[in-house]
Amino acid sequence: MIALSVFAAVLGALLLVPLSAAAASIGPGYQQPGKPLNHLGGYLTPGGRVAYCIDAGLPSAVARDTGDSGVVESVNGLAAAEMLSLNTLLVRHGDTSDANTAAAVAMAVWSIAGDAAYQAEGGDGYVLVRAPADQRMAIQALADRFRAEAAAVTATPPTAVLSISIDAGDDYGGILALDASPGVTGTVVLTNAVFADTGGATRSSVSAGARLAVVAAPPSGSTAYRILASSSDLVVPAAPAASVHVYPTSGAQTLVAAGDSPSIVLAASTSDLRDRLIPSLGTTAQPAAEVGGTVIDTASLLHVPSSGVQLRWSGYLQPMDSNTPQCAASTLAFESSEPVTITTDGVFSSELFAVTDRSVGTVFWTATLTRNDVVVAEGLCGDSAETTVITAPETPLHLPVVSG
Amino acid sequence: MTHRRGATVLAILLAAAAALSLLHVLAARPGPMIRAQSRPLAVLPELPVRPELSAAHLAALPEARYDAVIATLLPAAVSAHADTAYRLREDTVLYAADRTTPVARLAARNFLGEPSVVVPVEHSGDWLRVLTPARQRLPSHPAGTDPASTNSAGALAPAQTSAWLRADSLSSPTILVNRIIVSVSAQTLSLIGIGSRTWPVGVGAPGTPTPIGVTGYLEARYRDAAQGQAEHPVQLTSLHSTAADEPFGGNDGGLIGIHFQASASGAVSHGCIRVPLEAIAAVNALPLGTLITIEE
Repeated sequence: MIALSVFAAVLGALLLVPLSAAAASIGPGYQQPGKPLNHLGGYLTPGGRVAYCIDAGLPSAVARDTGDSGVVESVNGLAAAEMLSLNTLLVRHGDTSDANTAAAVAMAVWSIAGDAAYQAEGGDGYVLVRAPADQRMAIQALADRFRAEAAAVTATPPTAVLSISIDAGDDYGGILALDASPGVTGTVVLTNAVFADTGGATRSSVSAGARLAVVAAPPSGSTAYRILASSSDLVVPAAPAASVHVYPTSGAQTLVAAGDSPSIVLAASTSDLRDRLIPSLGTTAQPAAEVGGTVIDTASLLHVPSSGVQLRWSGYLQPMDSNTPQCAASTLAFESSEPVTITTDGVFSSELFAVTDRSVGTVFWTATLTRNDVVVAEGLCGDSAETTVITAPETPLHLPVVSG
Repeated sequence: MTHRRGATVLAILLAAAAALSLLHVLAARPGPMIRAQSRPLAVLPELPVRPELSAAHLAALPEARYDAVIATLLPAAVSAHADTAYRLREDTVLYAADRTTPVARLAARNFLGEPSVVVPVEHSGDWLRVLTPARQRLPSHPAGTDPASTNSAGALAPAQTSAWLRADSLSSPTILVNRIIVSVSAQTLSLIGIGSRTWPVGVGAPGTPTPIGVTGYLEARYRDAAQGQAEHPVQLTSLHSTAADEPFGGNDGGLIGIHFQASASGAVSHGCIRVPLEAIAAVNALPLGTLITIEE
């Protein structure tokens, strides 16, 4: 009798304890009374992870050598959508110590990974007897919920789209939009524009659904340009991928545990749908003037935004025989008393600049267009059409009057 | 040699001697109003031009021009002699009699922008006294009221002034071969020298007389339609009225000129010498600097 008891204890130990370190073991769940290998729930991989059988009807993997195939994108011939559902289930609920949850996950895994075989074995009704009677309804409810969740998972690749609009009435305005699925957050960098509220060209933590006002900053020397927006770090929150971690057991059930749940980094870029036009400026100054007179300059403007630009003139005086125009503060002799606001294309005249005897020489004019104090167009210093020669009037020669 | 041949030779020799004597006599007869200078002014000392005053000091001196009144100028002598007129190398300082005190400056270019004419009438070493175009005193200002003036009390305002300058200030000599003599009483103008001629002319009316007992020079010439002289240039002299500040009005200094007048006779002018067509042409042909003496 004692020998028999010892033998039974040893046999039971052998049955319950893995014969080798590479064997899976029973994890959270329920064993059918009298049939300990009829397990409803999760198993523990040699590495200690909770894994689940996907081969209903095959012998248990317990006490057998279980390998580690790593994360795979297909097992049992499952398609990507089924792999996604399976991994989502395992990520959300698989790593558990709760017996009911593990039992329900196991039932849902069988349904996803091999429902035909599962049903052939008897389906839910067959496996639920392994659990205590008072837990079976709860387990069934969880299993049904997990199956519904898994079925609702769609393999929609994440997307992120940047777009820029142009203000209908003003080439300088626009809206930057970031649309993404699922939600993303990242840094957006503008070219030839700044964000209206900060004045900066870079903005971090831009999230999906953002609608941000931008203001164009035209590059110098160009006549037409576009605003560019780009981002290379739009991060999609981590989500289950269509892959699972597989632990095969030769001649027995294959176990799966949760696979990758990577976060994804998206990139997006955009530019204007059409060119933005920079106001063009052509000017002509009065070529000559005399002390005591006046000088006037005219400007022809195209592509003036309806929001308006400011036009002003500056005149730089140098000696009559000067060959090198110098338009600097040291030579500034004339300046518009106040800028003129212009909102339409056309030809516009400067104020009349009074010429005094201190103005004799050559005046080089430059006209400047600004918008919100930013120069958008400027004349060229030394332009021959923007040069005025100012002379002193000839003093009439007085001939002595003799006494007659 | 025979006696006949010898007599012929003697006659020829005597005739030659007589001719030479005649020529000597003719050459020795003094020409009217032209006296030999003790020194040929046409040859100036070759001295380097030395700066006299700084540019700022020079510019600060009053300019001796036709409409100026500079009390420190010297009155000119009644008679003066010059055979050469010059130009100035540059704006030049005029000095008082001491040849040390700067009193005025003479511009190298006159009111027409042309080279100023300078007529030396006396020399002393490296110094020359020249006739100047400005007045010394207005006729309305009694003599002696200006302590800077060299006039003696009661004297008329000089019609002509002078001052000293350095000889090395002058350049571009022009030989003067003629002289103008005006006789107020005879109402004539004569050119003396080469091609002497005399014309009847008009002179100053009793209230605006032409100054007499004075010697000046032809200073400048110009056409001026405003004065009715669009065709024949006015001959401006360096002389000024001694009877009135402005006998013809204006502010130019009672200038005495020679000008064409269709009816050029009588004591009818405001001081100017009015001349007929031929006379104005003759005077106009004379070089500037030619002396003009006005006698009673």
